[in-house]
Amino acid sequence: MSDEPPVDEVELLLPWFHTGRLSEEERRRLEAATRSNPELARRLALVAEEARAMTQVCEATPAPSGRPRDALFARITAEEAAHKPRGFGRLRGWLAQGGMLPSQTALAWAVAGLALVVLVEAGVISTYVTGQRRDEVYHTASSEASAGEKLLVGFAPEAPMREIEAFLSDHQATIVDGPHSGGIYAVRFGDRPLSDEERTRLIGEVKSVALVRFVVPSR
Amino acid sequence: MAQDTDEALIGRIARRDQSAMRAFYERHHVRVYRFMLRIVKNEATAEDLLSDVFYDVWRQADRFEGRSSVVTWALSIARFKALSAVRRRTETSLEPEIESELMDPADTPEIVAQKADKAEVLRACLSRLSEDHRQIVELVYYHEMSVQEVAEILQIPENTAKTRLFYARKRLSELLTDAGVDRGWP
Repeated sequence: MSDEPPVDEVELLLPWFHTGRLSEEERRRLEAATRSNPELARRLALVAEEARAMTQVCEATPAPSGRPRDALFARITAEEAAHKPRGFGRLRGWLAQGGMLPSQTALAWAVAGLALVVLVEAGVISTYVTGQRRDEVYHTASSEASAGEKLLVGFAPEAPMREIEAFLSDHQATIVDGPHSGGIYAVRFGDRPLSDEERTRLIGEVKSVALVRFVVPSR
Repeated sequence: MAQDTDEALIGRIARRDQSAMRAFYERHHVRVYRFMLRIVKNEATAEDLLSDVFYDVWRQADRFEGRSSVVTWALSIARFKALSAVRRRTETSLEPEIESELMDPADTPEIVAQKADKAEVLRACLSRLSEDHRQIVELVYYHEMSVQEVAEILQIPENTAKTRLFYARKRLSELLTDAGVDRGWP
């Protein structure tokens, strides 16, 4: 019995008539129907009662704390900072704005020529001055460490440095960038990328540390 | 001074305007949070997801095509993230004990009926609707979404949206009858 489809479209649209979210044509149809049919008008009153109760239920739900706002804007600020040109890039932007920079093609040739000079000089120096063998290649530590999981971490302002150091050491973590505005650091954890599940677990673990104000993934 | 419309704010957000993002967040974060909290039933999770939803808005604002309202778009993102979180939690069975009791009042509608007024019984019965039924009732009555918007957020045809709400209301009446409140409908 309860599976019977409703017979009338008007009945289906009553809730949207109450909230005023119908097209003009539908609104006129519902208005006429409720005016001429007292039972439908009574059902519309039930809809109003339901809507009031649902609104009360929703508004009794607490509002969020400020934590998600802090995390969101820290993430945005860090992202923006990461995309801002630095060093030569910033200088290049300034020169370009003033029309003082050569064209892209001319610049590319100049850079290529400069690179060639540097390479030749480096070869001469390494062969004749230091006498180093070609297989003695220099590796930076960062090239190996870059495989870890990077998170944006905000530490509590009153957190003592030695506790932050202990935290980093406990988690095999390194600060790789920052602080950005709001005291946000990019911190690399471990030495390999994590699966979604591992990342969620790590974030939960880091979040539970008292000196961490918030933590979010870095993209 | 007149407030920017949501669409105008999204346009500014697409141009990386953080003040527009703050205004958009302030305008909508409570309703998005409440919507997700009712799905995930955990305040900390809902707060994490809230930050993620608005971060997606920030990152995808330049791709917003305006085919739906901004709020519909944000609630669609919110629903997707909340359901994914519930699915992940179900798969890993994480901390079921932290679910908020807020969503599941200790008193049954029958007990509430014995000691309270009809409005309170109605609120108790609303909280006892199935997830699908409660979501559509909330979208229509609290978020005041149109048929099309509800259909888009829930990813169902418009006719299904209409009949689902009808059956949700019918179920609500049954719960009320069980609690001793006869509305004479359906």
